[in-house]
Amino acid sequence: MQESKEPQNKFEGCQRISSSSSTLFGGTSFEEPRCGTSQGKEEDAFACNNGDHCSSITNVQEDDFVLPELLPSFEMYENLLSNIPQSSFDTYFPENPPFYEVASRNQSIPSEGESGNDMRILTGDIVGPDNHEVTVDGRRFASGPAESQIRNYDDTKGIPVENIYALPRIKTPIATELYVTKTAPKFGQLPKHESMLREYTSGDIIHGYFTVENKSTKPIKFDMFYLTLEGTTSSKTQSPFGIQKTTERILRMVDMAASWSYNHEDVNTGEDLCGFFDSIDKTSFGLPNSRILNPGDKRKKFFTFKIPNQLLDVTCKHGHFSHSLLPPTLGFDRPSSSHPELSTLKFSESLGYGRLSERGSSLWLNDSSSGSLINYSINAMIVGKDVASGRVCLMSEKKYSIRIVPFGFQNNPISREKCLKDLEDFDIEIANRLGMIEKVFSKIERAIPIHKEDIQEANRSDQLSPLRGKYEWNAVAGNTENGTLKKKH
Amino acid sequence: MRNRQNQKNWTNLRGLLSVEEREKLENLRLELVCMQAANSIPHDPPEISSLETELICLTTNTKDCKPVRFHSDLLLKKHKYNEIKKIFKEILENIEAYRDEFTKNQTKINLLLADDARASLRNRSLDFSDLMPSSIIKDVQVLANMEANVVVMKNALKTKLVGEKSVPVASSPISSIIPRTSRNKKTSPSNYHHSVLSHRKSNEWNQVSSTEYKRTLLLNIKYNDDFKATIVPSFESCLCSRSYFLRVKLHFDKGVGSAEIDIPVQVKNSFI
Repeated sequence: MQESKEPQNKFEGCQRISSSSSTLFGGTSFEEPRCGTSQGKEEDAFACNNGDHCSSITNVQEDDFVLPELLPSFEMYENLLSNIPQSSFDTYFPENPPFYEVASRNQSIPSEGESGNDMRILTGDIVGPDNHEVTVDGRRFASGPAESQIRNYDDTKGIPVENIYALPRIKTPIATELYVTKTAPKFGQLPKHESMLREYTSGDIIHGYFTVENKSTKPIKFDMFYLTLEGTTSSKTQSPFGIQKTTERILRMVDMAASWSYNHEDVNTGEDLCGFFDSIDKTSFGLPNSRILNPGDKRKKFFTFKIPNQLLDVTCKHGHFSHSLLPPTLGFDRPSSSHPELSTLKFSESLGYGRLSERGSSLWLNDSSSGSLINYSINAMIVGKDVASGRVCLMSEKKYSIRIVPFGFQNNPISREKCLKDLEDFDIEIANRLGMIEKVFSKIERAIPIHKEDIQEANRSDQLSPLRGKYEWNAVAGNTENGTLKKKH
Repeated sequence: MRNRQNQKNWTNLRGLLSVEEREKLENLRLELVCMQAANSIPHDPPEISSLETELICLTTNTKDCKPVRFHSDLLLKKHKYNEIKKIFKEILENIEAYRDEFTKNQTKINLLLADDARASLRNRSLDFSDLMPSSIIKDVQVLANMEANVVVMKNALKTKLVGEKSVPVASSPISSIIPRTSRNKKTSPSNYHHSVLSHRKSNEWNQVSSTEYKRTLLLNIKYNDDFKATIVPSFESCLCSRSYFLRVKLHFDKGVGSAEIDIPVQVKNSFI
């Protein structure tokens, strides 16, 4: 079974996830960095109810603020992060986040601008056993709209967030810009942008902000806005079908405060900053709950990421600990020939690097990458419906490359003896299985029934004797390689 | 320029290292042994005419995660590495031949299944993947097609032979030289062990028997600031990895020849 060559994606910067890396995401698409040491969870989180309020906005964002470590609620994770939300949800769910109180059927929940029928249906959906009865109640109030709403909810299928990289891309007049700053950005102050040569290490905090602007004259509806810090590794190897490139996504962290959600509060202060106007760059803070970008309304939000110390355990399917440490940035992904600013790409021998003049482009370094490519970038992605086709697509995408040189944690290399022993054990396992197949073949020729022990590994000790000494490379003269596997003809 | 937050983070990270891990490789001690040929008249061992130090950069690429972690020496020596690939290419050919034969006889095999075998398969037909799972075949493919690239960086290091008088015998000199901030790298020996011969004089041949001489060299090693290439720290990941070696070449006079040794080192981001 030869793995086929990955198709060349026509979109520049798009990273396909190969089928061999399907175990990376498993049941969750949200990668949480994990510390093996005393540090706790490191995660940018959504502050639902932040108790402490500050009197002044400008006093809040100091250089040494503590990064909040909060987890999303289950509903928020399921509806916004695990699956890509679609606007058709709105016909069933109200604009406000779901209530956590379990209300009885007789109690009326006041909701501004919403009908009572939706509330009863929603609360009924939370109380599982009573769902059917509440539906009957719903019919009494307004049977037609209630039924259509219920049916619409059943037809809505969530798109897993892993599929966001395979969504088609359309050109939209949405302009998205990403900026990385030295310190946490503040209102009313000119931000100090970070140098393009900055090298981040484990535990460092990346500060920045993004702006989103609708350049057209019509409002644009979007479904979701994601802001992520992602890392990918690629390797090129020779195969009988040419050069084969394998790409694996090793890191995906979502800044839930910077991504779109129903909340208004800023993650650092807990205050309602949505719509706050910053006169420095003439932007308004936050993305509106209506998920509509009005023309001329430039929106801004701050983001913060903390570089993790290591990746999740599921990163390596063989469980090697050294593979769960962060690899450093390596190699240069040369932009395609159709890139508009390719002519500005020049490698400077005296400086030792080259880059495009575009902000956020990666550095071209002389690091002897030899076909290896390790990239880290901050990504902004806007998902929405295509007006023409009605399909979910990527409306806008922006990437800001960063360089990570992780801290040199203690990572002892494998010893020579252990490596040879592991190779021997792996070889023995395969030889035992091949011996099992040979036994089945011999039974076919003699028409002997095949029993349970012939196709299971229980009696593997009765198979071939161990092929010891096969992987020893002693410089002893006359050492000949014995025990080579017989080739079946 | 780092803010207070990053400085505190760096202090915490440094605290995670053990004492020996915090050491920086600045001096390298080499011991040479010269055996005089038995059929020769007694003479002095040759003197060292020149000394070279190179940084060897080894990058490996695979199309999936390797089932076995590899010792760097197996990948640096091309003949050993090709031997491993050849073994697993043969295994892969064997597996494919067995699969073809299994597919040809699959109907016959399933007819010969006994009741206990059929029950263990839950009345499903026997597939080749029941005997040889596809994950194992993929692991063999990874080992058969992995690639190792070796790049020699000649000008990456500056080496100086430390004289006898500047280094006291049986002491471990620790230099206070701090590399440039932009480097943030440290080289440390991982598999190199040596003992100090306190009764020997440094940098000279010492006769230990009628035909055997020993000599201890002390090399002072540091990065070359004029080197423009970027030295990425050592790492291992599923698809690629990076390892480094210190190659010391000794050239002897009188036309004797040269000696060469590759010492595995680790490049780490441990110093500001």
